[in-house]
Order: sequence, then structure tokens, then C-alpha cells
Amino acid sequence: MAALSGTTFLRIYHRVLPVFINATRSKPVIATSKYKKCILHHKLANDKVSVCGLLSVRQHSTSFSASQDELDQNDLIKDFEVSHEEFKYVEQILPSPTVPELEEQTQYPTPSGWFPPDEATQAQQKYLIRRTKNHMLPVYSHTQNTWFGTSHFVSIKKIEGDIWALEADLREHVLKTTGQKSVNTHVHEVGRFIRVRGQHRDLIAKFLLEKGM
Amino acid sequence: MLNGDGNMSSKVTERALNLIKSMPRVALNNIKPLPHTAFKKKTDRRGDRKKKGRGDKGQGARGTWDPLGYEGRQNPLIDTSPRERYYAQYAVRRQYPPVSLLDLQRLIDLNRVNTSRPVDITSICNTGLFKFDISKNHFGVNLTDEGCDQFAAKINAEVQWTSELVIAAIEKNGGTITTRYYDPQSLAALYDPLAFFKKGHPIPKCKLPPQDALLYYSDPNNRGYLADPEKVLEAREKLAQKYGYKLPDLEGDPFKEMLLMRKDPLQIFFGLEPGWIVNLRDKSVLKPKDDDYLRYYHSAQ
Repeated sequence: MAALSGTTFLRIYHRVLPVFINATRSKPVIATSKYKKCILHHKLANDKVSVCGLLSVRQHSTSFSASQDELDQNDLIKDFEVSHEEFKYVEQILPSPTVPELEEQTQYPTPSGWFPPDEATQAQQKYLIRRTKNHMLPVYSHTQNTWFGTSHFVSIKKIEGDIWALEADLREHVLKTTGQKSVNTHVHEVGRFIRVRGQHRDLIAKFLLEKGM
Repeated sequence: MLNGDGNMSSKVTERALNLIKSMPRVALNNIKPLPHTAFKKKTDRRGDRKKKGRGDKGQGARGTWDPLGYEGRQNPLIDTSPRERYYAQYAVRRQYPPVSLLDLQRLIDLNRVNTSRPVDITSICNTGLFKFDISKNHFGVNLTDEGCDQFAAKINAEVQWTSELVIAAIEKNGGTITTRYYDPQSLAALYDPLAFFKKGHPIPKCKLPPQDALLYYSDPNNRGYLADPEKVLEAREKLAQKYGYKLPDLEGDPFKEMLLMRKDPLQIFFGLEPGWIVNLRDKSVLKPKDDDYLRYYHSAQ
């Protein structure tokens, strides 16, 4: 019994039950949830599974490193070659801890349509929207599902300068291009972001890029 | 006679043992339950026609409504109309999350992917912008054709699934592409190499593709990694004629060596062999010399 002390797993048909056996007592203490305990007691009563049957329970570890079996030192592989040269192939695979710096391109926009912010146009505005660490505009669309339906929002983040001037410009642009009668906006002065209701992400992003952001 | 019998039996044993040696190892993917353990499908339901499957008499039979879809003894619509199971076996299907050519071009423009080296699933994952998960049955990347007209980079791409148009778009720019299968254990290492090396496990050997994927990965039209390289060269020229572009000359290319870099079917990282162990602290690679160990890591089975 002493060897079995601890948590093991008892297999009854297709069920595997965790069983706690205390070696200090004369009978094993079975600590399982209420439901599992019922099944176990039922099986014990009907099939007359004696306590001795638990001795044949095999202990299963969740992984090799979790097993408490002592390793046979003869099984370990001790004969190996140490190479420092081949580590260069490992370094090629490992990810860069930071976002790499941009390389100067021959022409803008690049084949994928990306171009850097235009500082001359930026300087004419009362506000500034910084690019993210991935060199993209911080303009995001998101939906909100509620009991009364689905709402669509566009949020513009990382705003510096006059946030109300930006809100006025956005409002005017959205109303003019879409022909809507009104547009709902939400300006957060402390969080430095604006939310615009509607599916206007591409429209707003294009507008901000034209403003040199 | 006795001797003869003895010889014969030993020969039979020997042949059986040789047969077993050539067969694949017993694993979870090639065992199945014994035939008598499966339930037989109940086909004859004549006995149930009067009782509607509700048993005999009592509250169970009388105090209930008809079962859902019951049409008064005739075959219900759900049985007579053909089934279209779009999501059949969804949980066990291989999934290939898409990354478009436009996404890849953007990664290259913003210096997130190094085109002077082969571009594989690890280089896409190392950007941190795309996530793959083996627990969701993600078997690698599907390179899709969105932005095929804008794609302008010359790369050596290794993807898990792709289409003809994508192959044409890459080869038109002078690049090469291979479709390559990885088993989930290898993919776990490829998705996050740093986390894998920190574990200190040996680099796994890549298994061969399962039977339903073998045809795809040995087809030169898909640029499969198990296809004959000469047939792949033929397929490149045929595709150029089909789409009407001039195939750039690979022989005179200054980056020919990089463009033709291919991994061994058992290999998952360039320059590193299966079975080697990486020591990140000492910046070294351990290469075990044990014969049994090497035999395991250098055989396909």
C-alpha cells in the first residue's frame, strides 16, 4: 500500500477516475467528486470489487517530466558533438524582439500601397495622428452586438493637438461624402480618441491619409 | 521432415519479422477499433410504425406530441431530401488560415519579412501579425490570390496550400514556390521556434503527408515538395504559356542558390537536422551520435 500512496487513476470501463489513496490508513480513502464517487461505490457493491483490486491500478503521469520515476542513467545519450558553428541557423529562425526599422524605398506608394506620413501637409493641420508601431494608421472598425441590433463603429486613436477640430473635419467629410443627414461621434479628450458611428473605416482612413497623417 | 518443418517455420518467422520491420509503427493514426465493438446501424424500423417510437401505452405514448419532423408514417422531409454536409467532420479537418499576396507584399514593403532568405511559415509567424494554432487544426498557411496584380517581390516561398494563380504571380517575378506538408508536432516548433528551443527537446523529424494529402503534395502543378523536380520545371513553363508571361531565366539569376533552397522532406528548419538539440544559453547545437537515435531521426517511418 505504501508504494501506492498519492493520487492515481482508477479505470472503470471507459471512465478514468482520479483516486487518492492514503497509505497511513488501513483502507484507502477515495476522494473524488460526488457523482464519480457514486459510480465507484455502485461498482464496488455490485461487482464486489474488493479494496485489493486497487493495488493493480497503474499510475499515469500527465507528461514525461511530471513522472516521478527515476531515470535510468544508462538510457541517457551521453555521446554527442557540440557545435557552435551551426547556431547561426538558429539565429536566422529566431524572431526579432522589436519591429524592424523601415528601409528607404525607391518609390512611394510601395507595391502594396503604403506610403509614409507627409510632414509638410501635417504641419498645416491643427491636429496630428501618429502612426502605430507597425507603421499603419490607428483607425479601427468594430461592431457591437446588443439586444436591439448590431452597431458599427470606427475609432481613431493616438490623436494629438486639437481633437475638436478633427471631429469637426470628420463630421463634415462623412456628411458630404455619404449624404447622410447626421452622424454620431464620441470624443474622448482624456483617452485621445474619437468614435464615429457607421461603417466608414476606409472613408476616414483615406481622408486622414490625404491630410498627411 | 522434422528438420524441414523447423526450417520452414523459422523462415516464416523471419519473413514475418521482415514484413513487420518494413511496416509503419503502431500509432494512434493507424489503429482502429475491433469490428465487433462498433454498433450496428438500425435499418429495419417496421415495428415502430404504429407507436411513433414512443413505446407502448401510458403517459409516454399518449401524453406526448408527435416527434419533431414526424409526417404521419410517411418518410419525413429530412430523410427524403439529400444532405449537404458542408461542415462534416469539421473538428478533424485540416485548416489552412489564409494570408493573401497583398498581406505578404505589405510585410515585405515594411521590412517585416527578409526576402534574401526563403520565406516560410516561420517567417510569417515571426512578424507577430498572424497567429496559427495547432489546437485549432491549423496545418499552415494558405497563400491566396488577393493582390496578385500588385505583387512585385522575387521570393522563394514555402507554403502549405495555394492556388494556380498565386504560383503564376510569384513565378512571373522570377521567384519560386513550394507547397510543403508539416505534421502538427513540427508545426508547433515552426509557429514559435523560440518557445520550442527553450523546451530543450530534439528537433522533430517531419512526417509524410496523410493519404488524402499525398496527391496534392506530389503534384508538380501544385509545386509539391514530393514532386519530381524536372517535372516541376516543365510545369513552370506550361504555366507561363497558359498565363502568357515570359518565365525569367533561373540559370543566370544571381540569387539562384537562394531561390532553389529546399528542405529535406524530414527537415523542418534550414541548416538544422532532425534529432539535433539547440542550447540557447551556450549558443550551441548538440548532435547525438547514437546509432539507434540517428536511425530513427533519418528514416521516414
